[in-house]
Amino acid sequence: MISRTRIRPALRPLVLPLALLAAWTVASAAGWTNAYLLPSPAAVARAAADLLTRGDLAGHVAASLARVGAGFALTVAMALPLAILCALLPRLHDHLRLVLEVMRVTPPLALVPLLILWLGIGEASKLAVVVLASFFPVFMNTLGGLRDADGRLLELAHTLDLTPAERTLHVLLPAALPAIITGLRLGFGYSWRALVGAELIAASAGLGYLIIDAGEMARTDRVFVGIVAIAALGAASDWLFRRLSDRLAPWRHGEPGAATAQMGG
Amino acid sequence: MTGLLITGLSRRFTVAGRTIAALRAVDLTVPAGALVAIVGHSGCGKTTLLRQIAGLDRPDAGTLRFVAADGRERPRGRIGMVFQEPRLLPWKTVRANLLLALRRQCTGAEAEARVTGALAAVGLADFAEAWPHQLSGGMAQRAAMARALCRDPDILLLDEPFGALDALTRSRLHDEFAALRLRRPLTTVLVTHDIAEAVRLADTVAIMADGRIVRHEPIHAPHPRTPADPRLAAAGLRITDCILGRPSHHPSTEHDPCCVP
Repeated sequence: MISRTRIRPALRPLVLPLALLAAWTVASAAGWTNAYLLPSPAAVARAAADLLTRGDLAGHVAASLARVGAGFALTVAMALPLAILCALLPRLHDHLRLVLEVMRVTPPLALVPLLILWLGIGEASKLAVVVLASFFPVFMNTLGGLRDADGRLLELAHTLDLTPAERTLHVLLPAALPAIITGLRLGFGYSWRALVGAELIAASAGLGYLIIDAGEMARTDRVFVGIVAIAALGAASDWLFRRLSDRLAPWRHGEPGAATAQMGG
Repeated sequence: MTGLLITGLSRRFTVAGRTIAALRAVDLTVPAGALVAIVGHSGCGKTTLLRQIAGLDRPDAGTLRFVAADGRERPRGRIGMVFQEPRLLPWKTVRANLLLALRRQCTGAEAEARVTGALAAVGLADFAEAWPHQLSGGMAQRAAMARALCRDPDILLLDEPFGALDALTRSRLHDEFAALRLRRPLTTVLVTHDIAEAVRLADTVAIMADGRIVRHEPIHAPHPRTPADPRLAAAGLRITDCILGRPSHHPSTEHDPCCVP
């Protein structure tokens, strides 16, 4: 009898990356690629080890993470309360709608030259880019989640004589929580991408700077280290937000199509 | 105890450019401690009427008054409402769902005691810490009933509360609910399309058609009632005949008003 090996579903997403890595290794070893344009995986690993031992990589990662962290915290502090206010006061949202819409469709990187002129080349302009990139996913998803809250539960809140504050805290916000977390996850991803873009343009530290600096020095291996670090950190943050969602909104388990993401950026 | 006095209650809705009269000058009296069931075709206005009493919707005309046992008007009372579906907040345990319903009335040990008592009354004493999704349909609806009852409502409003349940569960909940009301009379308005349920539980059945109450059918049978009671069966047939607009061959012992609107 012929036994067929089946790949476990959990391992399936790893097959393609491993195959690509193998192809990359083979192609480099066989000399099919230009080592300058595409350094071998071993060369990239050596460059990573080199950057790690000298502490450069950690420094760049820390610089980027600090910017994203601070910028994202600013976003959350602004977007969440504003979305709640807009959901509770539709008139306020009517007044803000057009301005928000125009800002939403403008890519934050397009504003970098202006931001540098206004805020200087220091941290402020990079924080502004992070905020602009992450504000709308957080705002739009929070507002959407609050608006889509089950009207039947709001009726229930009415029959229980809850105050507006109690209704918001016990009914509206929990109902919107999965959408809010989706917004945070998207917003964090967007701010990460925009930050690296901003660091490519003007910075003296950070992963974007590492990449552009290595590129100018023709150190393609280090460029790859930077790219891999960005991808790994992005994936790690995404995973963390998913875990957070499972933790904070466990009642959504098994509900298909629970969170519909609104890109908003 | 609180009764309910509704006079001339009207409500129109505009749907796709057409105006629909959901309630046309409805008069209804619910004496303190009585259970009035409202039956009729779907779309006859019975749920609209219940939502008016619950304060979920406002009338275009007419009045809705809460009256004390001595007949004097009193401010809007406390509502205990059970909807067609349980509407338990999925992010709160059964206990926390009930505690939220008590929030405007009491907190701390008193609230805990009332929640425990209400859950025991509906047979859910062991499920206080359960999450709503862990309950069966019947259990969830009982929890919703406990939530309405723990508020010690002036008026209990039931919107087809047993409609989504299987026949056996429904029958058992009828028994339990009737027993509960024997222990503690509660002014109740029950909206249902189940005529057997209406005659089983109600003191008076109000038949609605086309936004009006077209007939009141008092149910003269002492509690506890059994579904086999011939008086209930006859009343049920009279009500069915009235709703379907055919002459009734099941006359009641009393004088019957004409049921044509």
